[in-house]
Amino acid sequence: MGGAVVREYRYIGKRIPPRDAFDKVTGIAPYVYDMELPGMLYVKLLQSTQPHARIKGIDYSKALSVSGVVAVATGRDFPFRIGIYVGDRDLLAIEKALWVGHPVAAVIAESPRAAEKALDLIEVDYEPLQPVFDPIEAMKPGAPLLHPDLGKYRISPAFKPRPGTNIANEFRLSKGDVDKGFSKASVVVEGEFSIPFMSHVYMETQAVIAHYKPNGYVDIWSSAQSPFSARYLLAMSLGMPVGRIRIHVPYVGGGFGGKAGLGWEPLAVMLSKKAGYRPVKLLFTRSEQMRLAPVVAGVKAWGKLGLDKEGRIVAYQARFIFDSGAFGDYTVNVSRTAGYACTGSYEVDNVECLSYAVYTNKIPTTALRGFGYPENHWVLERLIDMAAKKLGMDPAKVRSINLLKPGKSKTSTGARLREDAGDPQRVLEEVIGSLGWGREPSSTDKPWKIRAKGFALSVKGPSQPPDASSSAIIKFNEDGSVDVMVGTGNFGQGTVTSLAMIVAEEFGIPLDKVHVHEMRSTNDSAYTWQTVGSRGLFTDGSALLEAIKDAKSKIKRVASAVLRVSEDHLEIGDGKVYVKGKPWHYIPLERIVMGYLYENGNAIGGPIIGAGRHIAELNTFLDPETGQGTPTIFYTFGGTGVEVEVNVLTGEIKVVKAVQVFDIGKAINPLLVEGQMIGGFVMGQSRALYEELIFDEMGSVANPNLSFYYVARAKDMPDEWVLKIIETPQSDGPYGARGIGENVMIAVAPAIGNALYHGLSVDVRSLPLKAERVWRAIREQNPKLYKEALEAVKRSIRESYKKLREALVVAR
Amino acid sequence: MSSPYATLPEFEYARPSTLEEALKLLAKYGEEAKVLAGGVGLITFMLERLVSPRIVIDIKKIPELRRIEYTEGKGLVLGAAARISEITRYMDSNPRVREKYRALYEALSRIADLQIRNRATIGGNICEALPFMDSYAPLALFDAKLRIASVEGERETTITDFVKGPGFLDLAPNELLVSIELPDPPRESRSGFSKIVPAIEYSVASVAMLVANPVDPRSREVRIAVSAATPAPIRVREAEEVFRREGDIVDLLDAALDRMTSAIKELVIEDPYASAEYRLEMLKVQAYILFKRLLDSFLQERG
Ligand SMILES: Cc1cc2nc3c(=O)[nH]c(=O)nc-3n(C[C@H](O)[C@H](O)[C@H](O)COP(=O)(O)OP(=O)(O)OC[C@H]3O[C@@H](n4cnc5c(N)ncnc54)[C@H](O)[C@@H]3O)c2cc1C
Repeated sequence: MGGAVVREYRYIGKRIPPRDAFDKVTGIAPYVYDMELPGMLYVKLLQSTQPHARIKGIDYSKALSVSGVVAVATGRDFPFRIGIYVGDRDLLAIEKALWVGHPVAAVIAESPRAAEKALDLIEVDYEPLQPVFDPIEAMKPGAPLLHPDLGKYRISPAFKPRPGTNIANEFRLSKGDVDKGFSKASVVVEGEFSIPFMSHVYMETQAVIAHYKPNGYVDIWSSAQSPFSARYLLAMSLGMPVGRIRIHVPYVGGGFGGKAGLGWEPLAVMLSKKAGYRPVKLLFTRSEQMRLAPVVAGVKAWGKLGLDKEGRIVAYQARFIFDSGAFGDYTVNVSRTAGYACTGSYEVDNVECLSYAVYTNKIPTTALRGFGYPENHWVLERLIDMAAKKLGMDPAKVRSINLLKPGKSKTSTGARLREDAGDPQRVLEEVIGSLGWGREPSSTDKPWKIRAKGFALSVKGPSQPPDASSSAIIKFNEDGSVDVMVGTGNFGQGTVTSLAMIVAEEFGIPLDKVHVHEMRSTNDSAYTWQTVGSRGLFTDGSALLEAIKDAKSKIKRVASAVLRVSEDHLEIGDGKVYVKGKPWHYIPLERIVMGYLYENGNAIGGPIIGAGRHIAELNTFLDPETGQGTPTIFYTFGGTGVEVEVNVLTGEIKVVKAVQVFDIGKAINPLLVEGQMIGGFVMGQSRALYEELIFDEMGSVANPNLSFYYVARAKDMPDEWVLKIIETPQSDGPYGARGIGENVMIAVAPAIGNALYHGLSVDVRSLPLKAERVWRAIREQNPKLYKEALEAVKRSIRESYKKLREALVVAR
Repeated sequence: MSSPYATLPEFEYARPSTLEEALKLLAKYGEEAKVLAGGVGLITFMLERLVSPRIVIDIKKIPELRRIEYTEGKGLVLGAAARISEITRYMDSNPRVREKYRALYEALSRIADLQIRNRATIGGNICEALPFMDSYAPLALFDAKLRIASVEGERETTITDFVKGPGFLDLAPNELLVSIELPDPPRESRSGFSKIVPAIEYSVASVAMLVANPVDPRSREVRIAVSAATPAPIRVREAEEVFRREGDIVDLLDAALDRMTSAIKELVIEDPYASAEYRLEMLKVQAYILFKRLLDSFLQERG
């Protein structure tokens, strides 16, 4: 492996369409949502109508009498908590309902109709408790407590909840001396920033089928990103042997982090048992998805940045308060990551970043693509532009001065950046070059529409435990084709296509002789920790290369006997094993991979299987006091530039040009990388401009639907794309590759925010940059601009009128 | 507009093939009946359990409710169950009709997406009675007459009298909206429609405007109708009257739009999707830009 050698590739680096495209376009792709099992029952969850209440009693006798209803379960049936990092989740509300939408009971019935009919007949007796909706209020002493037993929950070692408060996790990164740093500053800028709650809006809502069998084995079909960690956590929570649980994952209709970790499997399994060991199906409508399944935390942040007169960052301080809603299970790690990676792509000696995940009586939250980085970049990348303006320096120059230098600089966590980590300076140059930064944006034919440019840089690495690992298995078939067994998920990224390309490349066989089955199961796929953090190609690809090496050496051992040369003198390629330098001495792979048959009937070897693995090397836990250590296996550097057209009178923003630049080491499949760059931009744009869960006075989601929760559509796409891939190879990545899946969306919001800042002198620090918010900011911060635009319209009306009158005179 | 339920409540279904039959069913079931045209709205309401009718009366198969017909001098007649896409397609193949009723065309052709326009009907859009229905402002602009029928007979009303507010129509349980008649607009007039759809599916402020003979103070006419920003559509006659004053049309525009603002100010909706202040200002801003577009359209046609 390693990309230092320049090689001519047959597949690697080629634009090959994703393998799942045919299945998806023709509609044959299987999803859990569509699956039915014989004898299957349907589950429907009753949602709490109270944001915070003691459940005094649940009367479901009427529900049980509905024909077709098999059982009703409540929190009493499952008096235990589950989770990945902070085990604060219940299966159904235990004693207390914690948000409007909290599942308090489950009906299991022969048909969805019976289940829904029964649902309406359940009566819950609530004793309302004081709710708390604002995370800052929730942090104050004396605030109503959501989890009085926080101290008793199972906590993963990297996390520090504060029992007796609503703080699910507290993280502190501290390096150098910020006070001393700020004392050297020529300019200091600070500000408060906010990001709303969001929904992942994956196409396929959560869906799980579970069958707890009388023999003690459990089969689960789940729309999950991470079947192995779901299996492990499920086994731990339910006290079951891991090996008795099988999780099957077919195609997954999007995940974006929302289907990582542990999902709804535990509830479905327990309901299957409760229903007499029959399979049960739990799936959500969009409204349920947006009211009871985990969404994405809102953030209130503050940052303070100091530059000296040369533009060097002398100190940075930030605070992030993640509103984790009623459960913080996964958000604790998102908040921790926002904290430890708070300095983005820059080298800063004096840093203090605090981050919190705080419970409130709102819908629970979990991971989202980007995982804390979009949040910390929204603060830092905006502050840099503000500080640069104050100093009178080009923000590109300020960035250039402060960028991390691979091999030399230390990151926020004090780890020295590896020398082959990428080329951040070149990323910056390409972004500003492609954007035409420094040149005036083009003007429009409408005087009330103004064009503006902005950009931001971004960095992203996987946030995973230091021992997160992956593996891969390949086995040959009679025709010389290869079955690839990997655990990494297939929910749109296209990783399996790239993995198949690696196998085809290494054996020199046609791509259509490499098979990756769309249905993954924990018992017949190789293990991988999770499909998250942009790690799939890097970790599972590395494991796959080792598996290929393993298979090759087994093939060579047999071929060495047949061809009578030492294994060292054999090469594999073009679907053959051959003698180096004398390629006409060869054996086609299909004649050796199931065992070699001599003319007289003797046979040697046997079916070839290769196995490989990958584990993070030299990563460490972070110091509990200072957050220092080595948390990631790579950092991918990137940047985003935008040209936007702002309607000054309405506040509407249209992105006319998008520039995306990423140093990903090696693009195994540039088509798929560009797909990520485009898709990620649009997702970033959607979060920047439109997406926001709105809460009513009960803390209940008021827009649990796609009419009032708007997601970017085809018509909102930028008119022009510039997509640039830089390839500075990382020696321990497959062919030099680093991950790309998340970074593509991180810098979009700050780039747009910076464009408003430069082009319109308007500073908006709250997302989303909805039309009315931008309109209001223009009117408040730059009223002249608004007035002039309105005058311009009126002037042009007069001009049109004049022309019209002249035309009429001529006509007469 | 979305539901925790995946199944519909149980109901009976009838699909009359004549208007008379439909009216009889309505008379018989009254409050317990719901009319189904395209079903785009009704099915969602039923999924949300906002309504649970005992019987659903499907009016799609009644030929006379599917009419789309333009007669010179009389105007355009739309059957209540004519689909949105059928109407715009009809207009596309009759460009003169399209230009006469341009504001309606612009509004209808931008409703949702093609799939929805292929199902949704003009009558359903009117009877859904949500403030942001895109047909409202243009129908007010063109003085549309709505024909309402029941077993007891027929009556005629206007959109502004018919739509009272969110979910509230002047329609008895036994009545059916049968057709919409749009009389010919003033000769040589131009009209257009504009809406603001900020990060939601629907408009928060819509304006329809019509201008005829802009340079001739004696024969000129300006009409303005608004919707979405207010609970029900409004024909802003106070603003229109300003153009009957003396002076060039462009000199009266500011005063007219100020009148518009003061006339509707108290009625404007405030909700999490748009403040009243924003909606009100957006009506005005759009009115200016639309006015300019209409003036320019007179020019374009003169070459
Ligand atoms: C995703 C989406 C996007 C949308 N976007 C837009 C948009 O941009 N602009 C817009 O204006 N609308 C929009 N809508 C709303 C849509 O246009 C309406 O739901 C549709 O026009 C209703 O027409 P229908 O024929 O389907 O009515 P139905 O659903 O059949 O009926 C709607 C209501 O009217 C009653 N009704 C129907 N016909 C009659 C009649 N002749 N007499 C008496 N009562 C009757 C029904 O009983 C029911 O209460 C959108 C809807 C969706 C789902």
